[in-house]
Amino acid sequence: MPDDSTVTDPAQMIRCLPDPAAPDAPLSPHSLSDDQLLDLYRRMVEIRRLDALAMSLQRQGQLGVWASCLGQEAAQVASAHALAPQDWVFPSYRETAVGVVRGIPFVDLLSQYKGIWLGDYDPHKYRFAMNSIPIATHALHATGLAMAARRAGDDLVAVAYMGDGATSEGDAHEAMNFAAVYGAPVVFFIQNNQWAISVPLHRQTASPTLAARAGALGFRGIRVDGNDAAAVHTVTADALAHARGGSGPVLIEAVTYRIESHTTADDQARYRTEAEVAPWRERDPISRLDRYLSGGGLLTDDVRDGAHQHADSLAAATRDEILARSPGDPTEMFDHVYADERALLEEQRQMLVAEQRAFEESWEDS
Amino acid sequence: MSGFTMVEALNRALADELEDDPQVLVFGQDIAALGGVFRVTAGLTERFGDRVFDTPLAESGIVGTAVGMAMYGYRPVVEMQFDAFSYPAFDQIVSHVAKMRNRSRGLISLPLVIRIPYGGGIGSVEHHSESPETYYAHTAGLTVVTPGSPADAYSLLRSSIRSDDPIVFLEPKRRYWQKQEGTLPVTTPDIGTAVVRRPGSTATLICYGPTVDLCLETAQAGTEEGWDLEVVDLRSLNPLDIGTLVASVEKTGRAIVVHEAGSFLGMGAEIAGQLSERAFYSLRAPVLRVTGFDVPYPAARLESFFLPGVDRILDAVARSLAY
Amino acid sequence: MPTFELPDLGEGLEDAEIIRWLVAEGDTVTIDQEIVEVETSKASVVIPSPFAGVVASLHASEGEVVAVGAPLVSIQPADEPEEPPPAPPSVLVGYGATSGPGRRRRRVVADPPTRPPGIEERRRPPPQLRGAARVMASAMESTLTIPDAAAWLQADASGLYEARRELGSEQITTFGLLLRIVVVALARFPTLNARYTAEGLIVSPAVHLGVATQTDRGLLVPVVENAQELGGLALGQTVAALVQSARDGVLAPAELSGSTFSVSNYGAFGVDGGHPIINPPNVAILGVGRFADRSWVEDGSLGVRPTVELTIAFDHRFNDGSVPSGFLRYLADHVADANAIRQVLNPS
Repeated sequence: MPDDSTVTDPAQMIRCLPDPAAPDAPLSPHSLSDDQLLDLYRRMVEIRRLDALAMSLQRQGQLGVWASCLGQEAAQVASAHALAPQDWVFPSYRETAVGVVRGIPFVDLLSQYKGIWLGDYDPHKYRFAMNSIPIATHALHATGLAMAARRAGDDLVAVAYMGDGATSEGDAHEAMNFAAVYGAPVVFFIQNNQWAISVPLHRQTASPTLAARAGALGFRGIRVDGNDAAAVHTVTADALAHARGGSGPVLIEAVTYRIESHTTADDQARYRTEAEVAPWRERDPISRLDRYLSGGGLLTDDVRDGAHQHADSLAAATRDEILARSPGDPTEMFDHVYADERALLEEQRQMLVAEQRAFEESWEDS
Repeated sequence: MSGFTMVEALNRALADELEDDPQVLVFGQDIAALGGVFRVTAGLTERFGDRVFDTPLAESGIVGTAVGMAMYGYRPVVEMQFDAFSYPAFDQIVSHVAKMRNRSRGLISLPLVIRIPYGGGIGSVEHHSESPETYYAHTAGLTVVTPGSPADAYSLLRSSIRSDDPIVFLEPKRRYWQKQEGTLPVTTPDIGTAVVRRPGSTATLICYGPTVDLCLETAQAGTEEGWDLEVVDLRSLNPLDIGTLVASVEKTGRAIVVHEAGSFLGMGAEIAGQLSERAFYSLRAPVLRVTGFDVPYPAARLESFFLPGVDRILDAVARSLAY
Repeated sequence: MPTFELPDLGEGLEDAEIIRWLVAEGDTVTIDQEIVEVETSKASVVIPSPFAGVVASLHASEGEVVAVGAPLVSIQPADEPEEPPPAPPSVLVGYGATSGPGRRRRRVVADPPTRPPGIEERRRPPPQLRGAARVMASAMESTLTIPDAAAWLQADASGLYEARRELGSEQITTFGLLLRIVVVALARFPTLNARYTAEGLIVSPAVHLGVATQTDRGLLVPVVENAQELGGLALGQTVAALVQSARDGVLAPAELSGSTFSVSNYGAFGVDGGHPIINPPNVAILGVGRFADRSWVEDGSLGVRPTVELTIAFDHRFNDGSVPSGFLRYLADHVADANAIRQVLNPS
């Protein structure tokens, strides 16, 4: 579907839904059924509500930090929707919407940010690897796992989610290069949200587009409107088929925008103006899909209200669950360091147990 | 075979594991057609095909992809060509290899082995003679193993490949071609066990990897002084077999740690700390260290001044006895 | 009523300035409704309410800097449940490291995690002393300021043995009988039976006899009040009962204080002699070694006698050597002579 112009010309990218910022841009056909489109809509509404919940919980002191995916719902939800159950996702810390689409209860994703554990879901069950905080390092794990699956003759694709900043890392390059050299079934899904904390895209790369990278490494790149759920889904499904078919990796550059600060510990007012953000609010991915579906008569007020009510009740339940969640026995920190028992750790565990006991006794005494 | 070298032992260990377990993969730079710059993997690709393969020149890429393969159930054995070339992979090793089991609350095991030829004494250029063991031994979640003999090279490498934990396997490159009598396969004590290579009563020399033979030579020289030196080969740096060290010091009352890495925050510092906590009343002298100097590894013509040698160790024994 | 405390809004911040309240007291708020705009060292942040209800009080005014963990706003729930759920802590509380409920109130020293085998006692760090052990330790420490001296002798204890046999061995111990002689002797050497207090030396007309006793809780010194009023048998039984109570830990504090003179029976540990430490505010203490048959020379010939080493330690500020020596001689003369014991066995 992509031609070279969409990969190398920053003005070009694949769109399926009308873009208010580019009313004259050509539109490609999408491959989604009405039900699929409505599913995407509901999920995007849901994740936006949950993301807002997480922001509130952080402001209320319940989470140490939160990295919002506001504005990136289409890129995350639609790409995740295109995956097959057996595919593996290698996320960074911002891919909460992908995690939710993979079936992870949102409370389990919040758990990490509340500080209950470093990761609090079963990666095998959801085929969603432990999210990686060191930028781009997990792309290599995706490549390695894809190489392994290919070697085993298994039908699966590994999808590495990264941001635009991550493409500057050596590991991103190494992961793409290894995947290309071994023809590994990997999709590098790059959400180009224009900012790496406070550093804009033009400080990350002199390349006209991120998708152009793939060509230099000898594999396929695609550039898609990341706020266009239908286009993201279509392009991702196409890339997955390409990789699954043994034709090697694909890089997808989904052009989108990080509406919120990098995390709750950041303050975007220090490096960008509202004037820059405003046009992207106009291109909001949910409004865009809403307009498209309403125009076609698919999205009625009932469906819309239902989606919001479902999201609200899920958020309320999640709030209760995360408030109730607390760390268990602190000595669990010794449990998972090694497969076998280590004398030094056992000694330190006993030290902590004794310390706790003394702590408890001192409260009883006083 | 009437005797075998460490290179032969390592090669045989890889071959035997490749033979026994189809999940074992061996990869790295120049390890297939060339057989590795030290020939440790010679002949393996001919025998095992694409289970032994070359990679692009990217150490982080090698270790990072090994993580993904291990997650999928393979048991990758990767080679870092030289000690200092493991540093590009440091982030992968410390941030992921070491922590994945813990981060996933025990749900992800990474059974992978990172082989690193290390240490000096081969007259090479810069970045080819380093002793990075402390970086790895210090990192929770890593197991660091280093053989001091060809037999241990064979047995410990096989144990490492079978371990469900990630192992940093440090090979003393200047001992690669040293020969040992006997035949393969052999089984030696498992990871986590130190071994008394030579029993003695005067003082304990604690060593590992390249300094094991050095300390045995020193103990022999010490007999001329009337000293009966005990030599303990650590074999595993993390976990550290503290029990064997304490038992030895309770017998001899004196300990001298010998390694090529600099003394500052090196293994000797940890061992001195452990012994002072656990064998304080048995010590008749401070734990002494004979190590490389705390300078960047010097040019080849200077390395004999830098590396611990027999005389420097004997001097330390004399100092210990003077307390 | 739930009170919302200012959370740490960004990875280790300590406070925030109130820029603007978005609600006023009396306003009704819903969960996650924005209530206040604050400025931290890192960013300007709008904080949503964690509670629904009516704003009862704003705890800080605009322009005020509020510390993390300090009350921000109290909100009266719209329909107060019978037992409102406790507000979740707004500050992430860990074990040990944080302030508030995470901090231990006082330090408790745990045993070291490992100790080399075989030499445990020698390597034990100074124990954290409690109760009786702590009292004893401080009493012992206070003797460091006492200029003490000691005198001792070997005594032929045949008289004590003979007198005990006459009374019935099951009735009284040799040590118990000796105590009666001690009480009588103190009447003759009154400057040993005294208390040294802030008011000065108080020589006591009554003998309140402390008996140093080893117990599980440490060394205790139960006291027989007015021991001079008790005959030998009664004194022996009283001491035996007190010692047992001390070991059972059932003594009242009064029974552990007020002694005017103390005796230590370290001979019970099987030692021949020792140097007892004065039990302040007493000014002297008698140490009694092991009773045993030993060689004994009398009139140029060697025989075997039951003997005991008696040691007195005394505060040299109040007694020179003559008084304690005279006291010891008195004891020695009596324990050697059953007849002398009979004469002092009961109060006259």
